[in-house]
Amino acid sequence: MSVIKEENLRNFCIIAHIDHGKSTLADRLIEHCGTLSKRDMESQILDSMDLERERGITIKLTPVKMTYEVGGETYYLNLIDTPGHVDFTYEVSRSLAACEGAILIVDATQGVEAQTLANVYLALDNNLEILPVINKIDLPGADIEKVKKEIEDVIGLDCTNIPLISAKEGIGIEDVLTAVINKVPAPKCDKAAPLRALIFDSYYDNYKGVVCFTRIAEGTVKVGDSIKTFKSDKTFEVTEVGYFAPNLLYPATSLDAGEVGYIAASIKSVHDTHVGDTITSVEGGALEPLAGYKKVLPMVYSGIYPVDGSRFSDLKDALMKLNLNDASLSFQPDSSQALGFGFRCGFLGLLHMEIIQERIEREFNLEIITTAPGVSYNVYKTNGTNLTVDNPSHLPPIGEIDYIEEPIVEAKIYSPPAYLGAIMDLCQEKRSTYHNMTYLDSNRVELHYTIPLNEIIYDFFDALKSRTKGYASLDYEMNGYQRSELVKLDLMLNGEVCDALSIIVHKEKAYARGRIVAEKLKAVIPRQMFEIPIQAAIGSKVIARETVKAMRKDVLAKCYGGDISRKKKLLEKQKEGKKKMRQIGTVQIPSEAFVTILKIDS
Amino acid sequence: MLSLYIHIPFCYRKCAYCDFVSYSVNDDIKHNYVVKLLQEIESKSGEYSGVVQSVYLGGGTPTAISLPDIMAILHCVKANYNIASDAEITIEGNPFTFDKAMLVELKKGGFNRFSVGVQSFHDNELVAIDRLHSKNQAVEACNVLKEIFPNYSLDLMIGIPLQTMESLARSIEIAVSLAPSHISCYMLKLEEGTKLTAMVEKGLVEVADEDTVADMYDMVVAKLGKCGFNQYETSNFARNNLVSRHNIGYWNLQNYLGFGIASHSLYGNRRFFNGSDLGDYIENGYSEMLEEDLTEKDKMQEYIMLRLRMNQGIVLADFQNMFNWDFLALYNEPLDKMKAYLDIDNTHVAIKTKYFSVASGVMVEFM
Repeated sequence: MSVIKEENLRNFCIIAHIDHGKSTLADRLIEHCGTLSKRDMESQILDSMDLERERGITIKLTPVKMTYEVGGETYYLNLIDTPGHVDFTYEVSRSLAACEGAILIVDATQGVEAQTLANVYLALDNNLEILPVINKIDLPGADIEKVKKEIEDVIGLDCTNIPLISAKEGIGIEDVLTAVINKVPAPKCDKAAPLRALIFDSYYDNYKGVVCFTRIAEGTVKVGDSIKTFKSDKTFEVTEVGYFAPNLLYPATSLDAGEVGYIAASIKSVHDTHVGDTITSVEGGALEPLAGYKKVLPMVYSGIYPVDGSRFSDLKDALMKLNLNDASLSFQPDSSQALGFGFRCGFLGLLHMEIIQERIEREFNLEIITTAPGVSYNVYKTNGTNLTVDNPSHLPPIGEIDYIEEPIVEAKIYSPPAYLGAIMDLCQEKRSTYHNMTYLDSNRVELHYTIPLNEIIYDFFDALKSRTKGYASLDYEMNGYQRSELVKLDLMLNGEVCDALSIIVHKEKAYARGRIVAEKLKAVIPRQMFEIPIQAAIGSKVIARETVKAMRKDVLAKCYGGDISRKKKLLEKQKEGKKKMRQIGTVQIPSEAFVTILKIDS
Repeated sequence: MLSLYIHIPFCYRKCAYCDFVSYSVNDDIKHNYVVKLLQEIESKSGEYSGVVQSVYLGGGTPTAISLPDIMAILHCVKANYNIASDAEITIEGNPFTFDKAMLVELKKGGFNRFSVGVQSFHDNELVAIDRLHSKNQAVEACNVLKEIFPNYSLDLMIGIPLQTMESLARSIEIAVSLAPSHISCYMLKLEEGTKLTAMVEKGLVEVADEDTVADMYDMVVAKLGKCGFNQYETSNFARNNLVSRHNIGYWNLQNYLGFGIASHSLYGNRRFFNGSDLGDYIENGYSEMLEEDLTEKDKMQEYIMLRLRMNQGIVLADFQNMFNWDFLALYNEPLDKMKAYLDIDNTHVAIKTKYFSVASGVMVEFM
């Protein structure tokens, strides 16, 4: 790429509520700038993980550099795509810090939603110029005037000359590009200052080592420079710098202040770079790092174990590599009687947990078992001490517990008023405290609740969507702890507690939940050669019981000359199946059993 | 020792549960098939040796081809292989596909055993599985068989649609009254691709659940035992020790050669089979494919699997002779783990009869 005029540089991102068309607009912008022809485009270019395409969501922020010519000038546009789900707010905040502007997409049929607002506030916190656009104007349900009014009233942004677009149909894309060029300020570029580059993401490449995605705040970096980070005392020699093209890296000779690009420096250990850290030069380097990101705290915890116990170290390697570009994942070694050695992992939410789980399985080809998700509790003991417990099997015996506190969130739910009853009913089931309700306009209310996090992590979001035909949206933030009547629910198989199945639940919900889990287990545990009692218990008190009857029948079919190999193969398959089972005492349970209890609708 | 299996892949109509290779075609095609079959029988005779202990003409429905064709096959076999003077020579057939005159001819030609597929003595059940014969036709066929082939075997099924504990008991009683020397009683298996499986999946037909079928099986075993039928294998019962020597050959992993489409062979350590395309067979003759070369371990596992289906179980001396290993020492661990399910003494290891219905759970420990 030729020399870049500083004033022709634009760094921006796209923010939106999930499903409002963020990735589709990104695709159109890339296509329009001629970075790729339509023919070569897979839909949703920036969602490069298979997982992202399949689920139709963006998980990771992904940068791409485009060129756009207008009025004889060539502009360089760095677009950083961002995730939209509430679980990934952390990723969004990282993207924002690398930009000067943000395109805010609002769906012409849905209007402003909780996530839209949450992301706008994040963008404002980062002093970004916000460019609203209204998407999906081609849909029959589009109500442009109403949505304009919402943007003006609820968010407070001016909607004069707002681009009206359909990313899907490619309508209005030029207007968006023009707005970016006219309204997003060029970055301030002090090339002469000492190098300060913010690492906003990174990943591990087998040939290049750690590849850091950076925003160069000040100074210049080029191949051959000696660099270091503020958090590590090691020095590295830069082997490659460059820009991002969709799905590939585009080497360049140097990166200058104001630019977004990558730096590789044969960094072999994933411990030597941290997202949020600042890179500077070894000689004449900056004295102060850039303001990084605030450390995010996991909200949901679960155990991850390899199905094949001998692959523990592979699992460790996988988690470390994922952690490299997903700092929000935390993990520490743990062990379970039932599942052997594994890790207790912390996630931003349930979706984040599912994503990590699937990435481990796909990208590292590891079969894993995940235990029921839970949150972190403050346990106050009768002897005056207290401890934090995020693993149910570490909960002290009932007699030693004075009381337990559980984390709570402040939740805002946006919905058309028609679903008020359904939402309030759901919140009540989830032990929520109602605070107030605000009419944003005649067709949209904001409900304010305090909800135990424990209740949100299972299926709250799905239940909310299904009870409101998808119209309600949710945003929440942590708000400390509150005292609560919580108990540990154990599951016993043939009289033995299976530690990996224990969960912490509210006392009033324990009976129902124990019954459901026992029923589910009965359905997934195959009949074995003896009868297996399944019991749900609180302490020594059994609250639910089911029985897996002893196996009665193999099919005793004919066994002629042609059947022998087939029969042998069936037995071999049966044997392989047994290997994958977990042994709890004398009982064999399939890995799915652990997953099943995650999927319980209360 | 050697056994011969000849596959006749023709039926007047396919039964709803059947996944065997069979076709409903005209007489010319049947005859063309037999011609190629004779060629295969002849051409293989030079390659394989051994005194033939048993010959089995199975199907399909062997009695669906003409009597002269059947006789040609038998003569061809006799002319090309060294058949023991006391060899068991069986032909399979379904009720109404044979009459007394035909049976007399078959017997004259050298067949000494007949296996008749009855499956049930209730018309509603027979209709449900697409059998072409009625209860009365089955009874009639058995009465003729009893006279001409006193050593005849009768097949029944457990767990077919509409069957109840009572109707099955009645089928067993009728079967016993027709004095066969041998009864095979198989549980219905829903094979992939069959009409019955499709109907069950669509919910059009119901079959009994696992526990009911197990109860039915237990009832059958008890009832046949009381009537003098000795259970010598999980699904096979014989009077006066008139067991199926041909099947026992399979279960002892003795050499067997298959002729005709989709037939399987085991010779030494090679297991091979013929292609199942009828047109191709008639056009080009047999095409043989290797299924697997069995290692010593494969053979041991198969032998254990097959012998544990028999109530005699594994004869320790035979195992020692075949594989040169002490069975009790070699399988010390699974024997100990499964001891509750096994009868173990100095000469035999067998699954206790009452645990036959969970046999694979025991076998898998030896794999």
